[in-house]
Amino acid sequence: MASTHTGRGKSPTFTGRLCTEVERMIKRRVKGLEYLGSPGPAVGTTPRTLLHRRGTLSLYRYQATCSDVYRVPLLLVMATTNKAYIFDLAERQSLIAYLLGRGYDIYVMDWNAPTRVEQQLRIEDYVLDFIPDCIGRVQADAGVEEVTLLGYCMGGVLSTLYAALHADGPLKNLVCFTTPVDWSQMSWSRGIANQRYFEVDRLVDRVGIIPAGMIMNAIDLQRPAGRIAGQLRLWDNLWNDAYVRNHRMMMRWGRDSLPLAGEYYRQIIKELMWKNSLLEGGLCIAGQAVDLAKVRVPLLHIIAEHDTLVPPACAQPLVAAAGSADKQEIILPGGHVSLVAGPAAKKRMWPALDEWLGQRSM
Amino acid sequence: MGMFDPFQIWRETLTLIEGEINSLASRKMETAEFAQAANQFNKVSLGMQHVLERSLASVLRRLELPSRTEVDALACAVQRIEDKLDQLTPAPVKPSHALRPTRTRRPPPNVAKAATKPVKRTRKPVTPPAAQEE
Repeated sequence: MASTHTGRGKSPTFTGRLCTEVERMIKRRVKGLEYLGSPGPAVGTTPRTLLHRRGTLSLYRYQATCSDVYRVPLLLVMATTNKAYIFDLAERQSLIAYLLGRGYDIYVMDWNAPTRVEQQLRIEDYVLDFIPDCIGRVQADAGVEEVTLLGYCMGGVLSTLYAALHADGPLKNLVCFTTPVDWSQMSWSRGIANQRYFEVDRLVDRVGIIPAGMIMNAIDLQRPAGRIAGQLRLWDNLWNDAYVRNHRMMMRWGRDSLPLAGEYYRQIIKELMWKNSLLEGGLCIAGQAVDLAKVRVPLLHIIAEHDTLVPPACAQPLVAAAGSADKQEIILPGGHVSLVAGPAAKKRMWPALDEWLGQRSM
Repeated sequence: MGMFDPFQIWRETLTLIEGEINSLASRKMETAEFAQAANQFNKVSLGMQHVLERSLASVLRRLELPSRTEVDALACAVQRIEDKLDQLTPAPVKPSHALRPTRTRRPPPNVAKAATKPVKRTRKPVTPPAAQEE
């Protein structure tokens, strides 16, 4: 009977393999009922304090777990379409818990769904108001001048814009995860957001706030078989508690996607996607021209090799364009989300980040 | 030679089919025809949504009930008042720095030789986005 308890592919005989499958089938029935009747696992459980909230913006401080931390605090900027608990999914799947354990002082800029009065928010509001406001609050709270910014996806774009427009400080380092720079490399620019057919003005003028579902559907379109294949894999793995737990956390995070302020969305489509102005030049934020060469702080860009949302070709020009003397690009196996929160992230990305950041946070 | 395992074959086939469908869809999505069709669909669905919202608003008005937009606007107003109150409320006394951790940490000396070996590549050609975990 021992063979029936071995992992997949370990059973020595066809009979043993069959026994394993029968056992799994029974477990699927039992656990399938549990799945339907139980709430999803808790996410984002690392202790934190809300330092500031203003409309769509929330700033949190995480409770340090080391008695001695690095001098420079770390401010994480989440992508504007999603909640920041992807950094803190579960106990052994939390980038934040890992970094706290490695001695970092961590603050997170998280987003709430923008309200009707915030539909006029523009990139300027994020780059010249929200980020500087939070940096000021982090400086006051931590009692230090310098801050490291870490942006994920669109949070990386906003952080990069801030760094380019504030070359005189107080930034110490800039870390980006899967940050799109060459928007012409995104399949959206040729497909659903094709300039010839996509009437972004009509859409924004009509809805004001871009619904989260619309953005998620556009993302799903890139992998139309992903959802049904995911359901089949869930059924196949219902016997496996760890798989089910992880699946539920990820699905919940996907469902918790956020709508976007219409004006901000209009700017992203017209300026970043159609004009590709972040890379090719011409992007102005509140009258100030953005030049990536003005990013001079130490820069680390971590890219996911199998990212379909922000393909490596879309992300790679950042390091080349930045004016930093100390800059590094790391390409790791993984997808857009699994790079940060997948089971392999703790072995690949997190130690690489710690290795780079530790030496620059003193 | 590996043992014949129909279950494993089924799993591999699923991954293969998923990858094929996704890569086919990616190619189709980049065509002008798809862009045109998708935007036509969006235009029609937006128009229908608009008509539906107006009709519902008219019904709710007759029933003297607030529409979702009005409830949202009310929620926004309450949120704005809460935000203003937060700004007016004096900030809590900053906790003593004695209770906070010290800021003298340095990376362990062997950090540079850490066991992590990230794949560091630059200017790598784009991998076709087939069957990749997102």
